[in-house]
Amino acid sequence: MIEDKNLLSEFAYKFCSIIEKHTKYAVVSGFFVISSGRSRGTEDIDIIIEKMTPQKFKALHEELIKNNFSCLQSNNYIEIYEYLKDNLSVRYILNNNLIPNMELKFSKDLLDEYQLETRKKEKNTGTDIFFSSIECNLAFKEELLKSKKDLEDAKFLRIIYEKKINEKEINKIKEMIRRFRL
Amino acid sequence: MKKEMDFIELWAKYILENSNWRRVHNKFINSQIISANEKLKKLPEKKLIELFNIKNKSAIKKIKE
Repeated sequence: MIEDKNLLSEFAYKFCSIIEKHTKYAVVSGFFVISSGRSRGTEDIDIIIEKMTPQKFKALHEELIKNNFSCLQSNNYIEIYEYLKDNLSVRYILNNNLIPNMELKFSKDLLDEYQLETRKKEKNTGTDIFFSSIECNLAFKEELLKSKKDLEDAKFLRIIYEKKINEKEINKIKEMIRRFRL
Repeated sequence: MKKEMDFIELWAKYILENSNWRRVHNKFINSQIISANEKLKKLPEKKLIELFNIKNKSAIKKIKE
């Protein structure tokens, strides 16, 4: 293990490198906060991808399998596709280790599409991965999720990215959350 | 809650002031993952299926190997 990487970021990078060849993606929620330095445990990494045809998904799934990933829901791409089509998530693991795992879902509404559209690579995370923006992360944690863990994450992000945060953008996303998710 | 928030603030400030924070952080993340996987391997198959909503029977066989 190289010093500036950890098992979580190695796993995420391997998965995202494959996804990137097939579709647009954004890693959302906890992993962004952890990559930014927050010391807390996590079991899964959440990722949103654009909706795609079954044939395109077949190619993506087959490449994941070829690279030692397996899906906890099924080996059959049609069955997995049915989950995704119904806006359910599926989990992929690497080398038969349950943790970490990637929770994959299709973009389901304008808010997910916005997260994909405004995704960013953030130098401070030390990983070459597209994340949903700092503002999206803060808006979701402060307006929708609101658990103790999420509010702590938000506090952490506000300190780390103090100079980069666009409050107007956060308010705009919070308004979208109220319209589409609450 | 306040104590935890104070700790978060202290750690965030440490990160901003110390460029080598990632070494400590990576050790924490890696040990957390390794120890969680070791504990999971000891759990019975039925419990794992329940915990992770596993529907893929061949995947669970490989996990338990």
